[in-house]
Amino acid sequence: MTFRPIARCLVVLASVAVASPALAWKLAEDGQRFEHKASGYSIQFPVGWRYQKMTFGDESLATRDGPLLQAIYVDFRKHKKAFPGLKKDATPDMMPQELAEKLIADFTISRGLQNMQVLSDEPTELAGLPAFRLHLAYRTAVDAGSVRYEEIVVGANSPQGVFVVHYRAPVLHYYARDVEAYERSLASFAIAAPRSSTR
Amino acid sequence: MKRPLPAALFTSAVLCLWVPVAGAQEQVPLPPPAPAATDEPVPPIAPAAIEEPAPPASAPEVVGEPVLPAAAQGLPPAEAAAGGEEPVAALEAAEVLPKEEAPAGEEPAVAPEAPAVPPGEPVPDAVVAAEPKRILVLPLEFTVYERSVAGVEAVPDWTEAARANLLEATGQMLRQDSRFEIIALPPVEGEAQDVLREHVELFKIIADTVTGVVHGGGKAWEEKKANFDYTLGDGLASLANASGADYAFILGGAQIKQTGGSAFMQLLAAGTGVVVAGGGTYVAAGIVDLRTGNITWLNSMMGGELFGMTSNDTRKPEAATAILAKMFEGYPTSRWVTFRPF
Amino acid sequence: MRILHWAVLLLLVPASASAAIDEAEQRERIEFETRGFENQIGNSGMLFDDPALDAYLQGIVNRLFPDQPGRFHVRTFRDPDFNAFAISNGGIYFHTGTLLRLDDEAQLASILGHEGTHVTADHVYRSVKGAKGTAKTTIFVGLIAASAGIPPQLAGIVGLSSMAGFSREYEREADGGGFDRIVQAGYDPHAGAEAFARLERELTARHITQGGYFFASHPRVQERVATQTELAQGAAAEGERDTERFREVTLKARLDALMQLHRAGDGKALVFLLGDEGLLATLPADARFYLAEGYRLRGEAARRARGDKRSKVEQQAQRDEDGERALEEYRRTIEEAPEFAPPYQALAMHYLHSGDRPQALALFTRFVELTPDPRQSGYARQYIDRLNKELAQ
Repeated sequence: MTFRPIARCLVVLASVAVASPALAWKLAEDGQRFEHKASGYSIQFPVGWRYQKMTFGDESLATRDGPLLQAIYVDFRKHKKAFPGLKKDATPDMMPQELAEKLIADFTISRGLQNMQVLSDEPTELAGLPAFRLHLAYRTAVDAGSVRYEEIVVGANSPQGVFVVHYRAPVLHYYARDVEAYERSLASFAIAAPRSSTR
Repeated sequence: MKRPLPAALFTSAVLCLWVPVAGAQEQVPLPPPAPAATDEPVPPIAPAAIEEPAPPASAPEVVGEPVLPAAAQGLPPAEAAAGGEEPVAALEAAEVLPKEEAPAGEEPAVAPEAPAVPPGEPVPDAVVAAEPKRILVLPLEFTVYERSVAGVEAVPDWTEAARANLLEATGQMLRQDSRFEIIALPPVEGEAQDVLREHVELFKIIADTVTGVVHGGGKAWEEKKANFDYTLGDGLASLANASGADYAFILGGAQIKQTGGSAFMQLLAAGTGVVVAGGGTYVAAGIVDLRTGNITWLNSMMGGELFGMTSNDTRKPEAATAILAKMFEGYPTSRWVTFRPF
Repeated sequence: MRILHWAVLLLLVPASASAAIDEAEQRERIEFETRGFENQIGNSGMLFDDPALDAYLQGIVNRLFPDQPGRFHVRTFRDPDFNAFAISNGGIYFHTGTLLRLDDEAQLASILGHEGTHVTADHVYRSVKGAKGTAKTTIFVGLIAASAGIPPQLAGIVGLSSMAGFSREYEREADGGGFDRIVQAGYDPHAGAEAFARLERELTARHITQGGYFFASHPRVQERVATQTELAQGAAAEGERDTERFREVTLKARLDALMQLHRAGDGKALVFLLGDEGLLATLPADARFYLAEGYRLRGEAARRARGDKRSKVEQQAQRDEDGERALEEYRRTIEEAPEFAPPYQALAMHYLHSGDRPQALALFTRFVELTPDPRQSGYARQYIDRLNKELAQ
């Protein structure tokens, strides 16, 4: 017996009753940065790509052809519960290498990436902050075709939380074609100064 | 009982149409590859005919984990095809369907990439194609499931019948107007089979994207509809070289057939105002230029089933024919999403 | 209108009457999906690439089931959890995590015997038939299993394998059948009880009461221990163990499982297996690094596991102790394997955090010397630059 069709039906049934988790897609335009005020980041997504902000949460996603074909994905994690799969928190003084180690472990658990390989784990900068840069390779689940993907994950710690900018795409054709667009967006990533705690 | 029933029936009808096939659309369950057509050993393609698959964009070396000097390397490279030690069985060669002779006096076929000519209109000289394009029909990836009160399970006989019907219908559509000449898929083994498999999976991702994101994605995706530039990349060029084909036809999907107590339970539930998912059919198909990987045509069909009743039952030849005919309406224009309620 | 509604319902009842399928059809359906699953697993990248290991496991199964030639095919599955499962066509998938947790070939044979008996006793077919006959909520069982810790790669086969376990009756049947097989093959009859006892201790140490796999269910594992112990009473005192051969052939797989546990940040499992259970003695000297890392990871603050009844004070005390143990084990690794780079970096990070810059600098420098690939020492080189500047001021 397979349970996947049933599972999907029930998931779709459930989601019928609730609002879509994502707002409408928008087109990225030159000189028009996407700003996520609540989390304090902004980024220039590649011009002509479509992007959307998640209604609940701090994530935003941009894609040219569709999220499963290439995605630039920005994620902001507050220090508390930064690594939900590990049930561990981040701290403001965690160094990039330590963050990278935790994220790798968190991906293994929360994204089910048991077959993930870490192709490289190196220091870099993100928005002027010391950062880590991971290059990962994995395959999708067996009933999603075991398609090879590669992913770049660049992340940095800040007083307000951890900012992570991902790029993922299938190895076939798409990864190599669009990685330069990601690098340009990554270079544009900016973090706003934390808001003052006094009012 | 009186008041909830019509609403529940209506909702059941809508959800029977949309819910199961929308669900099926996200992740089409994969059937196993067809077994080898004969017991005789099938000679593999001569090595020179199949180019090595392109390596992934990045080096496969693993960095970061401590490599214990006393341990052998234990991690497979990223691009290695996982598998057993035995050679993977060759894909079944697609049936070579007899080409219908064009009746004398008829104009030659219109090229696949040319705009459709309205019936009755003379075909302009500029549009006349020299030769029909050669196309491979890749093994159809379609499975029929039974939804009963005990759950959902794949049914081999139904699947075999559905694939046969869809294959026959595919041939009819591809041969129509002498659009294509269907040629046999040569044996594909080992790494070449992995390459082909992954490209087919990428096609499914694209089909899901087009039907699920592009089609209903709003204004931001309008440009994509006008400028349909989806591609699998040039990784299948070796298959073109080996087979002599210009294009490949890919079809995937699933049907959930609601039977027995499940239909009755759904009916009973509807009578009490409770909606329960039923059955349905989802098919996605495309034509790919083997040398460039460009998807030159793509369409999908979603069809519903209500209380066990449907006209989209691919186990029946006429239903498979109707489905493919609906999908090919207006060919070579891609319509992406087609509905065939019950 | 009401009469019309009932008329519609009544008319539809005959059309929807249930048609039971015969045994051949049911078996064909199971076989069809199972074949599909095996093809998918073959493409998944999850099979461990060690033909010698697969051949070794196959040889043991062939020895256990000499009356069933060609019935089984065994593959190693790359997953650090304790699990092994069988499917109805004779496929047995043995996790690398299971190999990590076993001492010898006899214990390995006891698990293979258990799983193989699920096949010879036809448990998959009997369970599917039984579930359909009573119209049990198998779909919900499958959903629950698939969402409760089973990797997505395997979720599709839950209902058609031994992965989530069978009824108590069938599990006892597998215990008994497996036990008979290992005794007939000349293995030590106490091996099964030992293997499951270690698993039970692990579930206790990690506060796991119920996971997705059958082997992650504490009550069911306790039952296995009890059954195996009962079976072994009165059996011959000893039998074959083949410890050396087991350790040699499975080394690569066991180290890979350790690496995966480390990558997943599973400090508790690392400390339990390498420290508490003494499996470090079965591994090369540099594997002690994983024990050190286990203490470090376990010593990090984390939200308490559900089954952990310790007070906050007790938890903090253990974290402090773990921190000290980690440092000890890093130092011991360096003593026993001085050319192995990672413990130098790990110890250097400790000194960096504690403010001992000269020590940190010396250890990072040694780490870089021992790490020829610059991609693996990028962070360390950054720390060296920074520490040199700070110390020069």
